[in-house]
Amino acid sequence: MGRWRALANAAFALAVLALGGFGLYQVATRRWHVQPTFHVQVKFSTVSGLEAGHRVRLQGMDAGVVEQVVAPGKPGEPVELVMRLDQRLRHLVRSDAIARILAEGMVGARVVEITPGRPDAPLVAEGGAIESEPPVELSDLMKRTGASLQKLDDLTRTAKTGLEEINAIAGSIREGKGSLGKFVGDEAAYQSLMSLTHRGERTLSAMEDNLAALKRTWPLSRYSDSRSFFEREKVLYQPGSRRDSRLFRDEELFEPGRAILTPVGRTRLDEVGRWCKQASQPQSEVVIAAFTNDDHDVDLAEVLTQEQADSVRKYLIEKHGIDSAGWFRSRKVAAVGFGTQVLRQQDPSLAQLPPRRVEIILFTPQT
Amino acid sequence: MIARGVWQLEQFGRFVGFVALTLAVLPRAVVERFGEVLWQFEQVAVKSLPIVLGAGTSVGLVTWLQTHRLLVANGAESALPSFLAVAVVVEIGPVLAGVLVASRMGAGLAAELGSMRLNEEIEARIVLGADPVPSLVAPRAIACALAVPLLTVLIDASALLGALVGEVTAGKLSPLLFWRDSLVFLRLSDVIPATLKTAVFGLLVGLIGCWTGLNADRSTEAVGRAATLGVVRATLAVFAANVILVPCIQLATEALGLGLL
Repeated sequence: MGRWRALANAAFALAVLALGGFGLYQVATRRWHVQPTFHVQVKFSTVSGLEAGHRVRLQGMDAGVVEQVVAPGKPGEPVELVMRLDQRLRHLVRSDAIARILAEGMVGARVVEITPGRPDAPLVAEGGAIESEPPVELSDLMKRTGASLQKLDDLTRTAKTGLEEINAIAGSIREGKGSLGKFVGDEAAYQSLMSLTHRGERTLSAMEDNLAALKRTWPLSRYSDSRSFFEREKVLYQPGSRRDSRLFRDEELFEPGRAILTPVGRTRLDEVGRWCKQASQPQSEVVIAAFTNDDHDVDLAEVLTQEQADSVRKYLIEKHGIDSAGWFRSRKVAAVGFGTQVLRQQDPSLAQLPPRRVEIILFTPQT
Repeated sequence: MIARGVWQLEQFGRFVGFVALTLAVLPRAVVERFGEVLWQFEQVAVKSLPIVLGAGTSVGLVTWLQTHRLLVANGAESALPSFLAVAVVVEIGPVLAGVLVASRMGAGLAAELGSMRLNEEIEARIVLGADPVPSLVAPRAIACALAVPLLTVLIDASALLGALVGEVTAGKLSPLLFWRDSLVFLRLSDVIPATLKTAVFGLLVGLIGCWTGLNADRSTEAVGRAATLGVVRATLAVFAANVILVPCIQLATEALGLGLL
């Protein structure tokens, strides 16, 4: 064999050896055989199948391998793991670092995951110990799930009992047992209850009417009037509406001391009627308010002013139809006799009004 | 029947003696007949290069294709390199190297020595004082034993390359990630014995090929039969040796506490 050929053979062999060496070096690097490393130990109550050669991660980074699993000397003692970690990551592993055992991926390979710890804690010594957190065992999880299911089961049973009781009650009602059941099952009882209700409603409304009538009857009326003192006044107080009014002294309209319209008064009211019709807005409201001075007896004055207001209202409605606005709508026309009452809140401009007067006020809501 | 069994047992005994003799003269042969060893090494290693590289790439690529399909279906595509590397480096590579060398050299050696015997070349050598075992068998056996581990390295490399080609063409992993992932499950305590055990395969192939050739009958047909027989015997020997060696290696690693590596 020639020299060059022999050299070529040698080169071939060396090249392949170099390739193999490179591969071995890579494998060794991946398992931290060749880099500078340091050792850390940690004790676990169970290592869940972890063995020497499993990987160690630091915050998820590949950081080393488990070098040794030391079985406990006595029952009850923890299993000790010795881990070989990359020296370059040493500054991250503090003495309060925590190690956990996790399952990785579908195949269920185990890895040790280390959480570094606080930055102010001292670095862990070579071969020093760090804390461990017990791994989540599937059996523990199953046990806890079982307990939860048991609780749920109890709850369901309680709920079921309650439902059964409710069902029993509903059943007995349906069968007409007990007072409620009898009532529910009996049509006649229902009918009589309904008629009672209707009668009650009617009675109540009749009672209301009676009460209203009673209030207007002297001497109760005095009591109720003094009570409704402010309510009557509210008719004239409509802040949301424009107020237009016509004012007449009572001798302009009525025979003296009476509630009978004079012919002059009628012509005056005709004017008012036309004015009201012109300002016929649907929501407008007419208030006829009659006042008198305190020459009269208080009660008689009430009657007089009320009758005066009513006769004005009657004339305006009958003659001019001011209670209708348009074809179909009606307009509210109120006649109120105020007697000798002096309105509390008066416009200063109205202070000089004659005490004996009839006011026809048109309130037009301003929307 | 019994006579034939006894005869076979006798042959086996002769073979054991032959192996012992060869192993005994092996170190001397390396020193004294280095040129012959180198020549045989070239025959075994360098000339096996095309078949070894071709087979390696093909096996890697096909393994990748088949495994990829399964793992993608289960959403574990990224686990492929690590599994594939373990399969290739720890088992497929060594066995494939052994089988390839067995088929190539088992036939070659048996035919070569068979025709030497047919030509009475062996007798001539003996007359000239050159015993066939140190001069012919030992250099061939040692050349095979040296060549097969190197071929294993080449098969491993080419198979990983084939898988990488598959991954780059149709997969999602980058070459760097593929390489780093493929190293995850490899341990030195797996890789080194797996590669070195192929030296035993090579030695067995060399010994069996030579033995078959030296014991062939003196006829042209017999040389052909010896070649076939050499391949069959050598291949069977490789598989049998693998079966025996793997548990032995595992026991040895365990006993020596090297499993942690």
